[in-house]
Amino acid sequence: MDTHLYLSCFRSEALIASHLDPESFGRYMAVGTHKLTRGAYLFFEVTKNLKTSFFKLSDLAERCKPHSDGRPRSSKYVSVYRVLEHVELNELGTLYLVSADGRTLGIDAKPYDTSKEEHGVNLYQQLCPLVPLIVSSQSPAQFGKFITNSQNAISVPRMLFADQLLDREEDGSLSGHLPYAERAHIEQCIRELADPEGKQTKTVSRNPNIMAFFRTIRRGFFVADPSGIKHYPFPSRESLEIEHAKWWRSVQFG
Amino acid sequence: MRAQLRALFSSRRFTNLYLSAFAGLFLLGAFFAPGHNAQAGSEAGHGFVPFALFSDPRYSTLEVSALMAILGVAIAGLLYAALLARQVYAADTGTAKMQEIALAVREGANAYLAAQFKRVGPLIVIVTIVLFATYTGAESAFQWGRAGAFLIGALFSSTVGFVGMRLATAGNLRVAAAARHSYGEAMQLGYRTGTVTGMLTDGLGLLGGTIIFLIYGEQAYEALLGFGFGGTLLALFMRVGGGIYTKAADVGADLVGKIEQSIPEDDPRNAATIADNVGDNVGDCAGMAADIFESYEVTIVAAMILGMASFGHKGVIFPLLVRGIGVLGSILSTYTVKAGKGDTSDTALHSVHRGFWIGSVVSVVGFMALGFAYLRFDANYIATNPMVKAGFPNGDPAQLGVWANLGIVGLDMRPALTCLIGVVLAIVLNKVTSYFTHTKHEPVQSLARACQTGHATNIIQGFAVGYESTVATLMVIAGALFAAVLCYTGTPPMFVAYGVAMAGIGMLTLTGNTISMDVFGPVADNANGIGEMGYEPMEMEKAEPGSYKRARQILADLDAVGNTTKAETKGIAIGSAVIAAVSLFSSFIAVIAVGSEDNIRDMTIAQYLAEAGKMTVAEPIVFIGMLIGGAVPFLFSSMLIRAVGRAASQIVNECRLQFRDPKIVSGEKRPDYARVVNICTKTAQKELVGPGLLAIIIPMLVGFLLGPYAVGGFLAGMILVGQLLAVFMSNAGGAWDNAKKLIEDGVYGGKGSEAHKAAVTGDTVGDPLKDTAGPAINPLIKVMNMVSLLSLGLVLRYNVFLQPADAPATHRVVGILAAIVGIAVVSWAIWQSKRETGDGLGSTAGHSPSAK
Repeated sequence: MDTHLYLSCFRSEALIASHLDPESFGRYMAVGTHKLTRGAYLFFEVTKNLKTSFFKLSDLAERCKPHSDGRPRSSKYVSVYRVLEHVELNELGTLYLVSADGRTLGIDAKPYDTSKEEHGVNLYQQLCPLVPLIVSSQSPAQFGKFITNSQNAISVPRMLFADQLLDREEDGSLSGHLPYAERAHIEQCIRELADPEGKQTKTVSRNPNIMAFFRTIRRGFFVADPSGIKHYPFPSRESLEIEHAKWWRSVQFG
Repeated sequence: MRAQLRALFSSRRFTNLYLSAFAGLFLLGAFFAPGHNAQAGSEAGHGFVPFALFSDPRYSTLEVSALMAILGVAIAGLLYAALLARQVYAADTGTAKMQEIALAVREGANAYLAAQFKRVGPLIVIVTIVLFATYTGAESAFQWGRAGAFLIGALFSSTVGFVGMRLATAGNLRVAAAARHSYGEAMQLGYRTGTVTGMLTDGLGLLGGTIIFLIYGEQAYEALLGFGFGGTLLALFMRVGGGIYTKAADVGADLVGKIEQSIPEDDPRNAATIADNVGDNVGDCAGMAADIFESYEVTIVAAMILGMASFGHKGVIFPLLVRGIGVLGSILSTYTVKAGKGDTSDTALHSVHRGFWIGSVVSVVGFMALGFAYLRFDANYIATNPMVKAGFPNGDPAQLGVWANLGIVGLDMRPALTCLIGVVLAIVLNKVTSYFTHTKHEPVQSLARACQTGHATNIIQGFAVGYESTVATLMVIAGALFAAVLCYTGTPPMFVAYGVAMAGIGMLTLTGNTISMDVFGPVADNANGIGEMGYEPMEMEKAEPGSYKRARQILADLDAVGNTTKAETKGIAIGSAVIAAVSLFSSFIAVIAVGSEDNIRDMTIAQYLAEAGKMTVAEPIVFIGMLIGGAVPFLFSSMLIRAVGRAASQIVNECRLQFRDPKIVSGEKRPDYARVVNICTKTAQKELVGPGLLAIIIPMLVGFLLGPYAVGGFLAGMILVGQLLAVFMSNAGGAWDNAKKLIEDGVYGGKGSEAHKAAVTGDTVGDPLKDTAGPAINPLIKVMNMVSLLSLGLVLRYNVFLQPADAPATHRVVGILAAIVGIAVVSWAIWQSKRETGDGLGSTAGHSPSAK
């Protein structure tokens, strides 16, 4: 039985060994266990040959054995603490996005072309290891570099974040079709960013209520560290509606 | 052997067969009953001669020909329905996967109707026998006729419901298949599926009324009441059963699917998905079609009865002719409803509305021209129908205002004008309902805004909108009634009541269009579900790039159009109930005035006015009756809402149980849809008995205990409160539903936002109000009216409170016994509605959806 290594990165950070393929694992985590994951769930498949010695992987085959009746092992936790910082960017495989009802969509990383970045305000939902919602005038690459820069007073070694849609009306107010929980506060934070003397990033919420999360994704997901940035582009609307119709329909509500 | 017999009696075909045979038996009885003696009767002036109008010199050849033409029009309506049904059945049926889903829905709907007929069939037989046995008049032909007509009314009503539902379950698949090719094709198929039911309603309603009149002529009172009661009682059962089924399935599917498992609507992994789709058909197709059919029947019955008592046979033939014109108008206008390839939901809705307008214009022009040609009351006519004189100022047609006779002595356009009032009423009620329930208008937008501040503010605002819409609707209906009353100012109440009844005729002139619009809603809704579950996106895209997205958009647009048209027709259904009830109220007073249904033709205006004068709230017994009548719609609604809650809890438990299977969650295994369908079917049938009995028993109970005047008060209270409650529940529920849709379309955060959660709460609260209790009050009002009328002879003789001094003591004893039985039945029905089942909501602890 093949053993996979998954990096669970939202809503809890963990390294998990499993005999389940990614689709089955996502479904198991979302709906197949007493410890239900409410709402969106994200995980990476990572290489089994991790360079780090932070995790105890040598006896993994021994620990992750099928059940006595031959059933595959759904999950064997390897670590539940500071996982992402110990997995290099090039060790991260496909990112899987799981809906609340257990449908899984896998997206692969593609080279990120920083020259195509647009100026303007961005809305970033940090996902791992921290979860604040941020508005920022920095591009994803700039923001990634900034948040993982150890020279700053506050930083993290590596960060997974999503770039969210920030649709606004002509008067600057947020448009109504997206489920922003802190609508007025987001607008206030955006106004504060407009001050050239002011901050480039502003925290909207420390513990945001993420609703219909996947419906709000703009360019996709980013994993950044001082060495660079890895971009997992979100499929186009057309691709979502046709090729991933079931997944897309499932994520409309939760 | 026992099992075979059981299977036989469970068969819908067998139920239809024995009910038809039973109806035939009673009709034969009407002609050949041993007690029938035309000669003797003739001498007394009341004898029954079937088809007497063919040899009656008072009827001109033109009138007899016109009646035959109406029969022809009714049959033409039915043939048109058959033609459209063939077109629907001939359409493309899509892929095997789509057919499999549609088949599951169809089988579920058939199973429901089979169970319905199995349960209601014996009750219909019992009521028939009771109607036959409790006839208090002297003419046996009327005794047989009212029982036979009751059966025919019930059979026609069930046929409309059954065929409507069959067509809807065939049309939904074909609309989903057609959406893969073009908008116009899908739209036309969906609308025509509804038109089949609409024309069947038109055709059968007109056929029944006309045949009864041809057989019984001016003595059709009993048979017409029986016919109306048959249709009404069946409609009540269809409405109550269908309403419980559809909302139990809907609420159950949503609670487990959307709330607990976060899976979208119509997801094939949800065991309640098929039951939800079946529910759309049994509630919105079968239930609504039977409901409108009974309104159609009851308004024609009321107009014919009052027409006979006021304007003589012209007063009877005119509403039949108006109905005939309405059928022609519906045929013409429904055929014009079309959509092209590039149409959208807005242009499609425009086409549906244009069809309604075309039908309205055709009908109005038709019946005004007809009124001008036919409604001539010359000296000869008045001499042979002396009661007509009272309908004119100082008994002289020449003194009628120019607005009514257009300056032509003898012409009386008032019946045509009151019809016009009815047509306007239908249009205005559509607009009022649309204003309070459509996303484009302020009331629904205010609800959506209220959702931003939470669940409670949405509910509070919903109550406010519902109450306000009730006032607006009632003012419109009161305005129409007042306009009809103005037309007959200065005439006795019977003529005024005829004017009101004619407004009802006008209101339902375009029944074909109304039902087409209504049935289109669930057909489009189901088609969308079949598209969701049955389309193969990748294969469709491979065959023609962009086709999947286009087809889904077409189905979503059609669903939106269907939601709007369905909501608009609800106003007409409720309004017609009040109009019919108000006009039947006059018949009720007439029967009290003359003591028996047989003598109604001999009633004098003085007798009528004397009895009407006793129906005053200053009379405590009338007021007590009014209080009881006002309370009944609340009791009835409470029973239905509880029934939905109980049935939904069983479905929730079943779905939770099935979701414990990981293969169902993963989509590798199909859930057992039939189990949920069976639960819905069984509980709906079980739950409809209590409210059904309540509707039949309470008017009689009030009558036997408190006498006929209390029944009058009872009816007044019940009509007023029932109407208010029905409008409130329908409109508040509709507004909550559309506020949710408005948010889902992308305001205040759209799907998944906090506002959306509040909107979902409002929608769930409104569901049993708008689709179960609210619509069921329409047939409730009419069933109670009919029961009051049909049992009035018995009530006059056996009531406990108002016995004449010389009445035998046994009469009071019979009344007391009847009241005791009535109290026992009502108590049982109330107890039944309150009981908690072992698998009720209160006992679901430990049934966590995630529990293994």
